[in-house]
Amino acid sequence: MLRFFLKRTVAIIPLVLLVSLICFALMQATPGGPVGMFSANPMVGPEDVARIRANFGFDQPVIVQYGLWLKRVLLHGDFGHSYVTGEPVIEMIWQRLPATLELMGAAFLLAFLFGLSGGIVAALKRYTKFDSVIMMVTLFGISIPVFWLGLMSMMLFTVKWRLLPSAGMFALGVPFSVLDHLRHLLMPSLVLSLLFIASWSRYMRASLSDVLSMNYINVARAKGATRGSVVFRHAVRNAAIPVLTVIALNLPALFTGSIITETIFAWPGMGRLFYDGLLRQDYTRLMGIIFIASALIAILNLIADTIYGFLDPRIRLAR
Amino acid sequence: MAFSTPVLDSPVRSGRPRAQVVQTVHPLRDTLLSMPTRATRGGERNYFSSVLKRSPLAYAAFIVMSLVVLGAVFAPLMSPYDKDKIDLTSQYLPPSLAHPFGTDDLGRDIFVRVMHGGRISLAVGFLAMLVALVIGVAAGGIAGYYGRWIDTVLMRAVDLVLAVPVFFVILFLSSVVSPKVSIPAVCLMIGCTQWMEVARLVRAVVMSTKEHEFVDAARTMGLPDRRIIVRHLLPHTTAPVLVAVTLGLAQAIIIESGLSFLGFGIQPPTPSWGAMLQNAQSYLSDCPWIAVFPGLMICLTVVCCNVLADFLGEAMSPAGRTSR
Repeated sequence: MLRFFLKRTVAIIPLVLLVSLICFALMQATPGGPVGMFSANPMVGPEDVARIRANFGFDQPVIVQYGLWLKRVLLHGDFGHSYVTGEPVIEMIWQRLPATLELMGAAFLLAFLFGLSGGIVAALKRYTKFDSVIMMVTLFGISIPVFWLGLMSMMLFTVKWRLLPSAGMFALGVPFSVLDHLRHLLMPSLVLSLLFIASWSRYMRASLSDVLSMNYINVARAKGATRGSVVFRHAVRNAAIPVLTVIALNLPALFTGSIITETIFAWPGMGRLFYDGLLRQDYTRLMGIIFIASALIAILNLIADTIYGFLDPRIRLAR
Repeated sequence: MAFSTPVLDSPVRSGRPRAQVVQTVHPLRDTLLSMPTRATRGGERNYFSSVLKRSPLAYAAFIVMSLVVLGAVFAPLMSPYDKDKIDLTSQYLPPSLAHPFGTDDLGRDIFVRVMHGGRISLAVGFLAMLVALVIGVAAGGIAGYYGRWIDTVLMRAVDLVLAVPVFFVILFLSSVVSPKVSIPAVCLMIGCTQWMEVARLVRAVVMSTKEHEFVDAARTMGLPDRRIIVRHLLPHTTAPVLVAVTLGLAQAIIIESGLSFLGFGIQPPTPSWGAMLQNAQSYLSDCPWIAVFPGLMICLTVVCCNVLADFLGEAMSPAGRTSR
């Protein structure tokens, strides 16, 4: 088990490096490079641009710059300073990371609970009215774009019925209360999770339906195992394995959704930080966020792989 | 006992008992050869339409999708208003007979813009999937046919792209190219992030199909690898790839609309369903129709794609015909 884990850990390192190298090279390939934003500024002449390029080391080959950048990142955790605000990028990310993780964590939890239980119930009541209702709802769930869902729920819950706040993490000018915070969290996390609730429950239904028709389930039934024991101890455990792959594959999508959700609901997380960076062409910030996001996804994938190996002995014994 | 093995049928991997090898002619060969191909194709089509009629949801999706596509294709012929003309005398009009979907902040008719937006959104979706199809089929075909290290490298590439937050990278790319992201660039970027599923499916089918004897026969005849892959192996991947592409089309439309919504995809005044929603958030309280209709079109199209993909998967897989 330990060897399996270590092997997987080693495998993710080149991945993160490659992604960051590609982004780094692209950043240099922009018209005018990272100082391109000055090209439209009449106060900044060509000699100033040349001076800035030399100061920041932009005149060196990309691979050298990347090496220096990577060295600073790995040795000192230093992603450089924002071109726009001058703050260290790592501090900006550090401030925003908890909000993003909270939003994503809440959405993940909702998706996990409702998605899997919805799928289990649908599979157990396959081909009934209840099943077709769930399938219909999840069909729309996987088809609605996150941002439009956000806009529509904002229109209904905030503008029309005035039930939930539409922006931020806390009410302004009011002392902090957990309830208020949860009220702010509810709509963004639901909006973000709907896609995953829908798609995971569809996968769970398909997977569990397959497992329930297997011979060993009949054997378990024939041996007189109770219905609950058959479903949960024998069927769901095995049905969960392929679903887990889908969940791991969906992690990048969860990040994607969080950029859009945070932008719409003014949730002060990494997605919003990224979006602001895009608007202001703050390349050091963008690089830092892409690096951290891919590292996070890689780590989460690693955890999923480990759980996967834990659930299915064939996987860890095969290597 | 000594068997004389026919020369034409000597593939190494044949696991069948030798005694059967002697019978090389299919018992129904003459019947099969004499059947006109037209008739078989017509039969196939009849099969599809009959299955389609038995599945009301897929039938409805097919009709709605056709309407959306027709609306997009014939949009210029059916527009009573200019899609881009700013008319400050008719801003923020709610839906009415004259403007079925209302008008936006610049007084443009939303119905007309939604139909024209369909041209852009659908075109981007189809072109992006074409890109994804080309990359995916090439990568999957090569990986599946040659195996060994080529397979390892290509499948690692698939894993790589799957594990990357591609939307971040696309946004980053568009901001690098901005303010003018061209439509082909958007298609290319989306296509480059959607090919993995196709590649995996093609690889799996090619890997299993290449073990068949007709592939050995083709090799024995001295056909080049390229021809074997394209003419003999890839046709077997049609069914699963068609399903994957239909699902991918839905994804591509969603990605494009998300990009354009954030302002890094199709640029105004060109209408795409996502681009039309760009400023909609500011008008949610007073004129919700600006936000409702373009998004509704996205949902409708994507739902149809998903239903049709489900249907195709069931109709085309032999297992699907019986078990579901």
